[in-house]
Amino acid sequence: MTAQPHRLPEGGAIDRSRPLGFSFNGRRYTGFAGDTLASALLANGVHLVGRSFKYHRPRGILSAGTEEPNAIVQLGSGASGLPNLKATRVELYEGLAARSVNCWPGPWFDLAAVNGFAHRLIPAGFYYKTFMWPHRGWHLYEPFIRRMAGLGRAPDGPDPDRYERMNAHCDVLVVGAGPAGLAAAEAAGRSGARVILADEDCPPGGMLLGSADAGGHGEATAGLEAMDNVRVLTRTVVTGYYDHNFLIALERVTDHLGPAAPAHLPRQRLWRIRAGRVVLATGALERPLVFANNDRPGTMLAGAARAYVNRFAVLPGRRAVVVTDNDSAYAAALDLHRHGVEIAAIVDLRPDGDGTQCAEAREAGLNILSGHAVIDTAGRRRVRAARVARLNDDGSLAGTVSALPCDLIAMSGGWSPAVHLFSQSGGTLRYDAALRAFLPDVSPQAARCAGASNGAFDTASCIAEGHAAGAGEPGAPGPVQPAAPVSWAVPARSRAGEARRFVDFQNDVTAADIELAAREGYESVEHLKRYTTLGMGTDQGKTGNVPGLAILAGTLGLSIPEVGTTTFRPPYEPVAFGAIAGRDVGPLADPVRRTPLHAWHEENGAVFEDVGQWKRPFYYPQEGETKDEAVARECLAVRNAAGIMDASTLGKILVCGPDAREFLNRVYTNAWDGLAPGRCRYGLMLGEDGMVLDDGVTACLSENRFLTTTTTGNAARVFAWLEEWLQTEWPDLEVYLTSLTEQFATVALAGPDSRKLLGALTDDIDPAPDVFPFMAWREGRVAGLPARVFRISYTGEVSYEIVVSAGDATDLWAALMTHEVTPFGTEAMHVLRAEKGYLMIGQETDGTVTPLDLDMGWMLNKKKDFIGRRSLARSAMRDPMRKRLVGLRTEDPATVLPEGAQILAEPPSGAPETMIGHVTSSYRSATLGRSIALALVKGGRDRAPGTVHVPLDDRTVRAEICDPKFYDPEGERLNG
Amino acid sequence: MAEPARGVEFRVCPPRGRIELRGDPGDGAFVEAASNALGLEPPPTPNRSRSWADTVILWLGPDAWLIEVPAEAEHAVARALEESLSDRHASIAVAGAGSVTWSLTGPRARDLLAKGMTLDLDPERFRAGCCARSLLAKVPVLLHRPGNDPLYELTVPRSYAEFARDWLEDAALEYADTR
Repeated sequence: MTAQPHRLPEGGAIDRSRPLGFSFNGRRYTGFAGDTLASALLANGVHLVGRSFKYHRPRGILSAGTEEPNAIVQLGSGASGLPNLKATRVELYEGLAARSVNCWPGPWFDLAAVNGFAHRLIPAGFYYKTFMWPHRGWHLYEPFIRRMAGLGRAPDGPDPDRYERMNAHCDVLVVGAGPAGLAAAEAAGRSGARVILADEDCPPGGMLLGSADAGGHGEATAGLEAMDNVRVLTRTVVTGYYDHNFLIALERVTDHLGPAAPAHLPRQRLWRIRAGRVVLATGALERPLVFANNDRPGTMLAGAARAYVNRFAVLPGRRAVVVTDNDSAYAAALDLHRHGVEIAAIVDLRPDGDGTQCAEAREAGLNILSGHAVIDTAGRRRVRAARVARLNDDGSLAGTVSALPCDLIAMSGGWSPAVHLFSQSGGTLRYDAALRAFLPDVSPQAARCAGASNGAFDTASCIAEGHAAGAGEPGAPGPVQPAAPVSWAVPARSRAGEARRFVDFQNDVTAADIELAAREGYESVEHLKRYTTLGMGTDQGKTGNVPGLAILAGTLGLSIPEVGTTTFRPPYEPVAFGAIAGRDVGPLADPVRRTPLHAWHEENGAVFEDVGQWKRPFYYPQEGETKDEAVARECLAVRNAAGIMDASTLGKILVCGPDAREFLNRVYTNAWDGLAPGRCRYGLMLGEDGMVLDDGVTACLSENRFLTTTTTGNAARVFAWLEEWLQTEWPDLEVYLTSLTEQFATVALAGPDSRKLLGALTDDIDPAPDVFPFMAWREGRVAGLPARVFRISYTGEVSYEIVVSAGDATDLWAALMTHEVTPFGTEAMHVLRAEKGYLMIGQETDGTVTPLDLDMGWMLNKKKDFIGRRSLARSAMRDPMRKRLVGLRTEDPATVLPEGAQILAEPPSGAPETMIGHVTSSYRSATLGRSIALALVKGGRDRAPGTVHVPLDDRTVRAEICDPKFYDPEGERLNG
Repeated sequence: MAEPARGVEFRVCPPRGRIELRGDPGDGAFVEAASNALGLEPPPTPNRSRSWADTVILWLGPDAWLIEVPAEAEHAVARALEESLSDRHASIAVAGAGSVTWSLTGPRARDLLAKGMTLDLDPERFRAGCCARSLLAKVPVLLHRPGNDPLYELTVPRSYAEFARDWLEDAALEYADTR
């Protein structure tokens, strides 16, 4: 076990009885339960944790929270590897193995650091300037750039972890469990409201955890947990705020347990929260100061230094320079001092710090250099000294420079309220010059900020604001600590130093880059962002954005509000794709629908085809049969004897009411006036654009009751479409629709033997063709089961569709199977109907095909109106050169054209060709002993007889245009 | 987790008769005729059920109800409705074979459903006697709280039943009794 040389002997919210071993870049270390990876590294004296994105400069831990730009690590490897985690947010567990990202071979010696010497050659926008020319060069540069610019390694296999999703509702969602959030949750909870309190950390407490007087929050949390109506979600970061007070939060359920995580729990859980109102107690993020070489490891935000020493009992350094432009860093200096860190100086950019803690610091005898600034630093892999100079009133450098040896620079450039979620809610921001911060202004949603996110920076104001916000009472504005107008970037003494004043640490954007971009005309903050990549890293510029836009404003001579901020977009923190997918993966990705006969199909070796969500038997291969052989056998059985098919997936809608017939007249192209009970009729349905939407057979059950069938894939869509017309356009029609798709099973019995077979199965339905003609239906018992039998045909053979209760389907099928019948699947059905030239919705139609294109003008009733009729009256719809349905016979009968193949009028010449159509259906027909195809071709059968050319990958196939009715064109077999 | 995993149980209910009824609740004669045939009035309040003896009527929409009766009574009740409503504009459809109902019990039943459902299932809001059509993991479902035990009845179209069972079993893994 390695010692932890920088761990204080006592204190901190860590469990010293639980030491945890971990590794970083292959070296083994020890920390304690309660540590983050960052605090454990610091306890072991590790500051250098990675390299910057562009210049590969050594970088250390900057923060103690979600804003961390530097300490980006990769956990694990392979499929379960987690890239781009912030070491400041990774809770330590036994066996944790982390690596730096963005450096090779490692952060201590990184080959790409050569970029740092060439920084003059890679200024802002260098991608655009360099790699876009010559135009064809990008594919040469790209692999190089990708390797050099890579951030983390993507997992190389399916994610083995489990993710869950949870929907939740509450009256009040409180985001953040600092003093304001705890007070808000308590006030809301006491009012009886349903409260969810979500905090990214664990335990709750927020900034209180890192302050010296860390108490009180434990009691508050215990009080909340005692309330039934309050749900506390720790390790849960709210990442997105959408319309209607809908928010997304990510709970890290077992991340902190590592391999010890129980198998039955998900790694993460995505919460989808619908809140009555939202209290955003999201705190504030400390800003870095912008001075030359402000990125050396050992340079840290003052609040972070304070959190490490108080919460984690870790000394981030032995001798510190504290540099600040506000009062808050004095508390950090005092806490560091109290724990034995030598304070070389408190360097205050302001001429005079006057807060109570400033006075305390003076009393404690700390060396305060007012009106001074850190203007540069020394050191390479760790800061060795701060160079300090006095500032003139205008912010320029004055006088001599002294070097203060130190191993820690704790800096504070003020605080930016975390207004990200407020802004995502649609809320506007206002700039407060006194606070030097963007504050929440007005949100169009029931959202309200409280505490530091609202600009209240002292604990008492936070609690008061939180209480008011939680209780839904008006809040009083807290006291404002005026900040002195000091410059946003400390000038450097040299040009080299000017170029190394970092604003965005993760993307290596410097003050000079921003100034250059402004000079080049990128004056909008949105352009600045995209040109310099300011704020575009995984940290989304949480620390650097405000200083960046302030520098832009200064360069342009504008005020900060005139420049404004870039748009805050979700997610606030990166979210793993796995968490978004949840359990919608693998077999649970989408619902699967099965017919009542599914088990029989499965047991009898059916190969299934997906039709929408349905599983339908595609074909039933017998021992040793190929697909083609099985389909040919099934087709011939139907043509020569009898076959049965499970047609249960067809949509079935009961249309009921005195206006049912009128309704059918309006939604179908053909007329329904004469359809008598006991009869049925084929119908064609169009969209308003006149294009074919669906087709199916409708039976008249009684004067006011009709049973309509739809295609399998369109059932839900057609039902919703019909309901929409009834509810929104024709509320005067007395019609009710009821979907009966699930209630009934349908078995199609087809083939020349089917009449005889039906006769054998029923006593009370006479199948004789004169009493049970084509397009009629009868009710009775089939195989002893109550049934409706429809004499309709999609195969061109004598055919019956037997409809029984879904619960009786297996009995019916078993009774049929005791006779000489062949089960056939959807592929045989496709072939059989194509042999007859019958339309298949979704195959011959694609939303651009009219009935005229299909030579189905006879289906358009001229004496009534119907949906789509007027669209068909457009002259272009009658253009004879529209693509129209034809049959195709390949010259070589053995050639089966691929569906979707394009069709040419002339053999390909090698020049760009004009396509005249495409193949819509294509099969090998066992009945005809040759291939057949249906196609949509410009001019349609006006081209017959004629030859067309179908270019394929390796050859061009010649085919003759023909009548699509390949088999039994007169339809004699329908009547047996 | 803070609380121990205590589990949830779900099992398929025996087959039951179901009738989908549509009609105009503003038409007093319709309501009276339906009530006469059913022995109780179809609830006019959205998302509420009403029951008496063996019959439960669930509100499905402003002019639609689902009537649950014992399986053996399904056709008789449908015929009684047809006779009683013969001169009204109404739609009566036997639908018992078209769906499967599960009962869900246990302290985590609500959480289990909340994983796949966006409804507010707070017991104070979705109380006994509440019902709603919604989606559970993209499956169209009818959720009903008949009383306090079982907590919920989940009715799923027959074709989705196997998928819904797989989904429920998967979602319940984390609530499995781990003693």
